[in-house]
Amino acid sequence: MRRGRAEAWLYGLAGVVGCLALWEALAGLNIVSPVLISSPSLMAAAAVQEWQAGALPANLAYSLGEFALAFGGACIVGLLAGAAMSVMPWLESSLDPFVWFLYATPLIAFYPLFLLWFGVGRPTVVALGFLFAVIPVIINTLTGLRQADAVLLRAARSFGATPRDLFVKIRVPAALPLTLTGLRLAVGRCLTGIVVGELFGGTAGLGFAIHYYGDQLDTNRMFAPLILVLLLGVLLTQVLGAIEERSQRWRG
Amino acid sequence: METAVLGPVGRSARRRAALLAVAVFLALWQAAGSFAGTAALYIGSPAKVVAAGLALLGNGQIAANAGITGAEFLGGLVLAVLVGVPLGVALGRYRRVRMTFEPLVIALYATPLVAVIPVLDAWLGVSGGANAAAAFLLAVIPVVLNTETGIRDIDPVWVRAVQSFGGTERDVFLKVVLPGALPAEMTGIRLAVGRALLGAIVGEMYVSEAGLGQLIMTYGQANRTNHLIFLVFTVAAAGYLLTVAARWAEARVARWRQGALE
Repeated sequence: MRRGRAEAWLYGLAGVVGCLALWEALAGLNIVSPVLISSPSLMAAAAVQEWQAGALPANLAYSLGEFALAFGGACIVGLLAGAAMSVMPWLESSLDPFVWFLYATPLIAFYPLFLLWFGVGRPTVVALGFLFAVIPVIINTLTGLRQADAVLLRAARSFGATPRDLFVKIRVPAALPLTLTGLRLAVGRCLTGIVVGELFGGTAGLGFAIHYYGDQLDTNRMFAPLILVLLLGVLLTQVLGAIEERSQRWRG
Repeated sequence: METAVLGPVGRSARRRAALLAVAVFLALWQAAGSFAGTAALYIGSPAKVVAAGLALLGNGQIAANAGITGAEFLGGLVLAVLVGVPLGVALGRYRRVRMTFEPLVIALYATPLVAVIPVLDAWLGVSGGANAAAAFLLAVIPVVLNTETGIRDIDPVWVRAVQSFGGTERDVFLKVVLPGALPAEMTGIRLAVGRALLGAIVGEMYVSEAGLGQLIMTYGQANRTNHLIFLVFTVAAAGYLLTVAARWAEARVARWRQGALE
């Protein structure tokens, strides 16, 4: 097992390094113009420069702040809404069409409406990130709370458990894995909402930087925030994935 | 993420509650829009949204732009299937290829890939092609990953059976691997449908000369709220119908396979 793991790491690393080398070669040998595709070395130099000048850390902090607000809000609202819908069937039936409408819609279409309501900049971007993230949290929390083992519920009830006991001691633990999956999906979607919001009408942040340097066709500077955004997506999803795996192991 | 299971209330009671909720929502919206005065600019009203929609349908703007968005969506999706399925097969069938590239593909699945749209515009110019490329990029990843899973889940006994009856690698591919992976592939395509539409629309909204996304931005910037809301509903309806169609196709393929196994 351990040897297999090392082998997988080695191959995975080779894949990443190989892609970077190919990119560098294409640009370095001028097969594709570096003006268009930049190159890992040019990009790294630009990234170091931007980092030292303080632009990159400032934009990163700005986007992370927006992410924290949007994701935090989506967690609170999504968990509460999912829980409320699971205990009140009438509420669930009434909200169902709205939730599925939002689930199937390319939510970005709401951007101009949010712009009108909240104005340019942070509030619109956070609202978009929130909207992208809240839907999977609601759906997964609700589905998770509903799928508790019927036998367990009956057993607990026959031992005199109150509805509150049933919810706290059986439904919530049963819902945990699916809820965490919802949170993990929400991370990627939240970042998408934030980046798109910043691309379209941000005043700062990584998406704004991509847009800004993209307009000037400064590909070296443009790729640094782009790669950072992609890495952020990987990193945050990994964190949630690790928590998810932990909870599954704890549950057995 | 599957459709919610029915609760203690029956199906018809659920449907009635849903209809009632939508009706109440529309009534409140209409009332708010009618009495809001100038603030109606922010929320529109259902009656005016319908009127705006009829106007947009009447002057052919929706049809023309939906055609363009549809072409970008379809082009991106078809390309994603044509590229994604062979890649998924390679990843699923060859262990070394999988170990080399799977981490990259999985990593990309978790990232906000829409961030590359300005790059695509720089490379391909502001064009339908750049929007189709955005649709393709977003759509191809679930196709690759689900095809791979489908291939890996194939029972090796079947492969050995074909081989022991003298089947070639070609037979194994055509008779076992490809049909066996089809249901998982369909799941990948279903996920790709929503992402391709998102890619095309975001691409159009970012900078574009035509398409529903561009129309949304134009009416949004002009503060024509009712037109804007109708367009949002149009895109939402398209997303919903495409998802339903993809789910139907997925279920059909799953049923066909179940039948073929029995």
